[in-house]
Amino acid sequence: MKVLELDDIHVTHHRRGQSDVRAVRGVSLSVAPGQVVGLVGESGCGKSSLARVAVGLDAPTSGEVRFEGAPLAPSRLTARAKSALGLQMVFQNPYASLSPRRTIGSQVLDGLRSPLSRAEGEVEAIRLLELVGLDPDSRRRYPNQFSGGQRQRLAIARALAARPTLMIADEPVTALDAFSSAQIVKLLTGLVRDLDMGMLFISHDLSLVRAIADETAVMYAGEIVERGPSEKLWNDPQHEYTKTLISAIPVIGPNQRKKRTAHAG
Amino acid sequence: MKPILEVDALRVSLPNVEGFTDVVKEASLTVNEGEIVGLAGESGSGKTMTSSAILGILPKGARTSGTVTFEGRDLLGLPNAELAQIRGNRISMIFQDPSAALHPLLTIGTQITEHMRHHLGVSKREATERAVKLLEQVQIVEPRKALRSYPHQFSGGMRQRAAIAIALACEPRMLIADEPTTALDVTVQDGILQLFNRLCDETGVAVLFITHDLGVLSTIADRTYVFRDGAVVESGETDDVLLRPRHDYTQALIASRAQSLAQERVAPHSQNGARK
Repeated sequence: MKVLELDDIHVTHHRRGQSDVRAVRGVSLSVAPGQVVGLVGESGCGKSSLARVAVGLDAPTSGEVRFEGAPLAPSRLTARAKSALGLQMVFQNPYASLSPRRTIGSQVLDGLRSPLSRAEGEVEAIRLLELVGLDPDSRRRYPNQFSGGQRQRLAIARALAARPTLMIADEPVTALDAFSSAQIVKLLTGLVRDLDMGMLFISHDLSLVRAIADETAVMYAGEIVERGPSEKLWNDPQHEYTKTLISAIPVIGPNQRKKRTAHAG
Repeated sequence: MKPILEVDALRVSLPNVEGFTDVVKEASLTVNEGEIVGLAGESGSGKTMTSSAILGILPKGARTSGTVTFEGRDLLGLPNAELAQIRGNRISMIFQDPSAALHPLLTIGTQITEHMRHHLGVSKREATERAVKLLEQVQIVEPRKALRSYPHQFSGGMRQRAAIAIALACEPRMLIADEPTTALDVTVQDGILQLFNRLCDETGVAVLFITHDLGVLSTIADRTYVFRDGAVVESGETDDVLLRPRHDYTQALIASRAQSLAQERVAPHSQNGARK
């Protein structure tokens, strides 16, 4: 059984007085429990439009989104449909997604599907913080006392409170430095394995997706141009765009500056 | 090679509630003419504070000691009026977010030419002709049309190219680029890195290139300094630093890259050698 299925999704944005933008053109994609699917593409390729549809924020122009086998109920203005609570999200900016005015122990419980008593909540908050590798004794602190990487752990803990079967992570480490980013990648891979969650990992960074995703889909101009097991796609790309993307990633190797200069000269 | 910038035993302290915190401790570095020098390190390692000290744009109340010698003059002691003659003229700065660096209500043309007219005192017509050449140099297609465009009409990569053109407008001897490609797509980044390479070779401008991405430095930096906690922990030819790192911190930085993580995932034990 697939936990998320996107079936022939089209998204067209209408603009007053201008031609329509076909942001997503017939994308099909699925995520199984315990699987990480990476969606890679550069700015303007339509991955954010697709992500908004996948989480139920926007309805697709055509096509269907199924979550746990049933059509995904669209989100209302202030709340997600009860049936969609098992689908949780982690965003790019952990500074914007946490309230500065409430303790983290209280905020991680925002994700709960139903309220708990004070004592049960305490136990649950400790469990969640431990799950993401934070010190449970820090639960009376405020977000400003945490680093960017720790805040992203908090955002993940809050998403886990709903006991999700699917996590959609949109550029979750882009705002973090290399050490924090590496730790979050390891945390997410571990969580997917231990909790048997599905994950859709959206990023502009193919080398990052390679490090976390089992399957990778490369998106370009609204379409998926290539997909396959991450290592295979990395080592043997078929589509021209995938090749361009891989060759543009700066790698540590013999200094290329002199080489390039020599070519120029 | 002739040094254009020499930073010696630079210390920067910022005021806080308890007194002062040293954000840069004894940093020393040299940039030679026509050379691209990389500053690597994590957020908070002091690399941006070092560049701010060079330009004299530190936060209010900051204290400095040591020397920053640029073209034979110590910049640390200079009055603001004299620094203003150097900034944007002899040394230019390029920032991470080109949208924030460009004025949204002025055309690209105005933003390039006002610079030249202020520092070089050239006529409007001459400034426009130079601006066209600059936009060609940074590989913006249809430069004359671009001069009449506003920043919002440009893509991210085009904006950064425009910001680079503005930085080059007064033919500076040195560029300080602080994470100039971090906000860009990799394919766009590749073009900008090649642009830096070419500009450096063609115009002989020196570049101090600040980034946390070691792969980027491997692509363009002649020499690299690795910063940690406000001090240089390792420096040398980029190949020596990145391919044969001696310091634990440099090794840890390299191991935390996505590339290394992916390799570790494919062959989990290869890092530690055979386990049998």
